[in-house]
Amino acid sequence: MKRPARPCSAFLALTFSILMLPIALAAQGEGMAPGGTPTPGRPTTDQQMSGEAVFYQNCTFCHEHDAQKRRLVAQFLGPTLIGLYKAKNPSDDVARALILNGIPKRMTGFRYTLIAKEVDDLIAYLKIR
Amino acid sequence: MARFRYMALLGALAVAWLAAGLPVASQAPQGGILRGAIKAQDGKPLEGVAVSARANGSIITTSVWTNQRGEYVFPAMPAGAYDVWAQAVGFTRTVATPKLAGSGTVQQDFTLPPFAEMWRQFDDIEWYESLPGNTPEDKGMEGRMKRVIHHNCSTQCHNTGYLMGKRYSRADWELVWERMSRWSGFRADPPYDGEDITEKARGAEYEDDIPGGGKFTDKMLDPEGKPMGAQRRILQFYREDLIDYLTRVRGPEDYPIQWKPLPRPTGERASHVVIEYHVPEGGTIRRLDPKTGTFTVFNLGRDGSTTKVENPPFYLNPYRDGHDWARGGRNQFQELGQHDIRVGKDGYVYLPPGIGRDLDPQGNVWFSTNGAVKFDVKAEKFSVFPLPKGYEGMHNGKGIDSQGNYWAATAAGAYKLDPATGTWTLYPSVTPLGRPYGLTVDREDKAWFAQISVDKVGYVDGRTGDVGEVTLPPITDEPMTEEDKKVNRGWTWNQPLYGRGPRRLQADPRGDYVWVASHFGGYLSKIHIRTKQLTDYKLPGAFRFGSPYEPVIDKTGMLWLAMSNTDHVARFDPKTERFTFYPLPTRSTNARNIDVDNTPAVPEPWLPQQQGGKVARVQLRPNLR
Repeated sequence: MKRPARPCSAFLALTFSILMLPIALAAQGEGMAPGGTPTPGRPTTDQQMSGEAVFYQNCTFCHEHDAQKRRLVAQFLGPTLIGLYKAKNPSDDVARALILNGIPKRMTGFRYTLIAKEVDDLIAYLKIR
Repeated sequence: MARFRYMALLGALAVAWLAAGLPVASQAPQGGILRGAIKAQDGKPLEGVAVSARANGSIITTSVWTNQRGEYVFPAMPAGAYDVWAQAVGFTRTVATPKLAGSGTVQQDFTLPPFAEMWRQFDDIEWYESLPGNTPEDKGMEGRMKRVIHHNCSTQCHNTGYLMGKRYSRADWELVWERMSRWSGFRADPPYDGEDITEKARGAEYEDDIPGGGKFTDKMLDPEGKPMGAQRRILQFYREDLIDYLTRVRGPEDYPIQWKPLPRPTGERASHVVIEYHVPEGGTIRRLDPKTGTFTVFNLGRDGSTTKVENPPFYLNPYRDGHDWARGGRNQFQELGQHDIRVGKDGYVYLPPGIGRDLDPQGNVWFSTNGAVKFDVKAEKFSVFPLPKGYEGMHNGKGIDSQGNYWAATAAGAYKLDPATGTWTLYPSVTPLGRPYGLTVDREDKAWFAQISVDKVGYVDGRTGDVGEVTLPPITDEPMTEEDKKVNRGWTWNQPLYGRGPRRLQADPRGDYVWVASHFGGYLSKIHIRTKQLTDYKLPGAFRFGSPYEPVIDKTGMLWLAMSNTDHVARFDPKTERFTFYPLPTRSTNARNIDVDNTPAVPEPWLPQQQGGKVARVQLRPNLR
């Protein structure tokens, strides 16, 4: 299967700022559990469903939080990405660059793992997460 | 394209269910017959192909396998429109949409095109079998690194295929190692269950204890200055070899892996039926009525009250349930999974939360990791028996003796709760810090618990209070270096190559043996409940590293074994001492626990899928063909 082309590194500064979005932005996500905890938005299209599966296969260790993770690996956790596109609307190129390249010593890059369609689906899901 | 059209259809259905909150359809035993033949593009019949059918709007999927003529036949299914798909490793999953009438037969044939990237469809042990065993990191010991990965990176938070399906640069594998060793490095016992952790356990969490007792003499501190603990020591020992191996085999450069798919099932191994039920969201305990395929959810409130929800909501994403093998492996945190199961005495199947459960003599369901919770199946109410303040919580195994006492494994040994008085008694294990895990009670009221970190099985005689233990011999039949043999033990998720890791066990309710599954070493063992004599059975071939998890013995004396590192359920005949491995139709199930319904003439094992969001019922039909 065809792998995605490596994106321009000029996007990296922007992507870093996205990754560092404060977790508080998550409060703008699609749902809210009792107690004010934001819950991810749920997909409504086939592509978003596929993207949700990609997300849960590759992203959840750092981007889904629970009490155990906050206690044991808090320094590794990234933002939950809930409401990311409502808080700040990154372009697809920016999101793709971050997914493929990662961030040195903070986030693994998925350019050797994900094919182009999987990245597209993941971005479609992130838009409604 | 057919695959994606099918996915779109399923996705639309899932959304419709969510939006409308409609009850799901049921599946009755009467109806039409669906059958057909499957061939490859060269026209040759394909044996051992999985064929699955799900009616539109149903949460139930039924699966069968083709015979040597490439033919399949389903049991009678209700009238309606179905999605039917056929798949086998190396072939493209192909979908049809036949309609079944209330009676009569529908013929649905398939021709399967080849699928080039077969590794995307692999079972975890197909990944294990395919990994190279003679790299420089193997140090001349065939398969050393495969087993290092099996013993340290495939221990059921995720399995082999989930890890090896990924490819990273060296820097990123180093990052993965760092995070995983941090995650695994904390001491896993006493319990660590987030908000429920006791102050005592929290204080002991980073102690540098040796499994079996004592302190490490060579202090190893992590970057934060805390003792590393037994598990991270192992990962530290293998750090360079692991990163080198992973970068070599699953790095930026293509490595010439020789893919080794399992032979497709034939004969008896392809003559079974698997019926899978999607599990609804939420609830303290979920109850399935197998006759109608409907769920009821019961919730335990903070005030001890019980609420009941009929026709609970489902969240179904067809890309996440493992029915399309080419979507690859998942991890246990990914899905709406289910760990435990108990087939009730009242015809229902119960899915309790957490880890560890049993039925009392009246058929009530007991569970919980911090104290005990009883679900009265007739009154449909919960009762809570809290642990006294200051008592460490418990983990994993639970059991009920003939007097109705509740037993549970804990860090120091085993607890007994007398529900009549609410009295808890601790029985310390002979070997301390052995990480008591699974627990079972035999028919003479001995509570047995597996000590996963020291390869021992402890017991408490519930009638006398005597305690003892049985030692399982280490693994010596797999090549390892002298340094490998000197690595210290871990607690749960990390083990040296010589470690067996007895994890779950079950007493035969009608016999004189306790059966023990050694998760890491790939052994099934039986221990006589009076003589304590140990007999070992090594799992054969590729299934050796399928991570046997929990056994259960049916009314005919046949043993069924859940396996978490392969999508198979094993049957072991104690008379012939022969294993038979039946495939499951979902990929990356991570099925751990198991129970058996002894009501039918031929008992039926039930397996919850930790990663598939389903529970599976396996029916043998040896006389069908």
